[in-house]
Amino acid sequence: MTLRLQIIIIVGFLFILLSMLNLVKKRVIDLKHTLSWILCILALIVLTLFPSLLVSLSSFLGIYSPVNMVFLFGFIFLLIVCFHLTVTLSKLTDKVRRIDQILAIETKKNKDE
Amino acid sequence: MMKKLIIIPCYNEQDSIENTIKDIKENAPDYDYVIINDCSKDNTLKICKENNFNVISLPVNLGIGGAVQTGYIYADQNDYDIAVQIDADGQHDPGFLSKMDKYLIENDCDMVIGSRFIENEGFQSSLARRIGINFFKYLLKVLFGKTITDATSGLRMCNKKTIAMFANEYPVDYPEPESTARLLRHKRSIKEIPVVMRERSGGVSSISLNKSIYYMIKVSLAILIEKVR
Repeated sequence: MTLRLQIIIIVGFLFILLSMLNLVKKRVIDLKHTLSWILCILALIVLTLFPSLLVSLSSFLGIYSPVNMVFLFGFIFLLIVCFHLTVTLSKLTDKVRRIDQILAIETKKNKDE
Repeated sequence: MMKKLIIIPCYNEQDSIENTIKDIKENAPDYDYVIINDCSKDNTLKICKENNFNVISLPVNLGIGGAVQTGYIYADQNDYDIAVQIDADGQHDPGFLSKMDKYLIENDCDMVIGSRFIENEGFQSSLARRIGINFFKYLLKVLFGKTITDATSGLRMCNKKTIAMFANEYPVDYPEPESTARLLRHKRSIKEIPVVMRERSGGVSSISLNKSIYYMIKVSLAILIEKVR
């Protein structure tokens, strides 16, 4: 990796990181659900700074090409995030249903009185 | 005196709701009723208000499971001893209710299901549906060792204990077979008595043909999961 490419990639990552933190600041997204993305980007920045880490890690895991390892990890990370979203969505659906039901019943009570 | 409630989940039933309520007032006068309007897009709510029907209107559409559960929460909060589900489309004859509640009280059941397939009288549903219902019958028999001939029947009556249970937890979509399995897992007593059902007088079934494969897979899986809970 050339120094120029390293700089471009890192600037890109920093831009993503800062815009994400900005969204947290503006309360568009909450920190709890952003934490995994932030950690992921930090890890990517470290790997861009020290590409030799990638090579030694992939040879340690017995993966021939470091690129394949990056794809594998990226894929696993995305699967975990998706699954986490499924869990969160299920919980939210449950809560919305309960709120809907209670709201409907309370509204009726108020009307009856 | 027992407090008895009829729960009528309702989605786009403007053509049949008036007759259903009239039918209830004539043939089951000792019952209170509550209509759960699940965000109908037609004039159901307007008709209910004009006629001063007892209606709870959900602000957000929940589907049949969430709507029926609202009825059970209402029953639980208002201390009803018995709650029974009736479809708004005129399929269920309120005339059977007194027979059902007598049976429920005498046999101390947790749930009584009105089944079309004991005496096989009246509207018997389509062949495809009967095959599906029979499949659930065998599935429940194999898993829980009890024969429920009509696990998909919407005409079901619960005692106080079951009302509280359903108020707390009820399946979201296609709830009937799954909740039956849940009761069986908890070793609650479920009995069936023969009823005659009519063909629906209005509205459309919540289970269209292309949803039926999803329905079979989802409900079977739900019953299996219920078994290993």
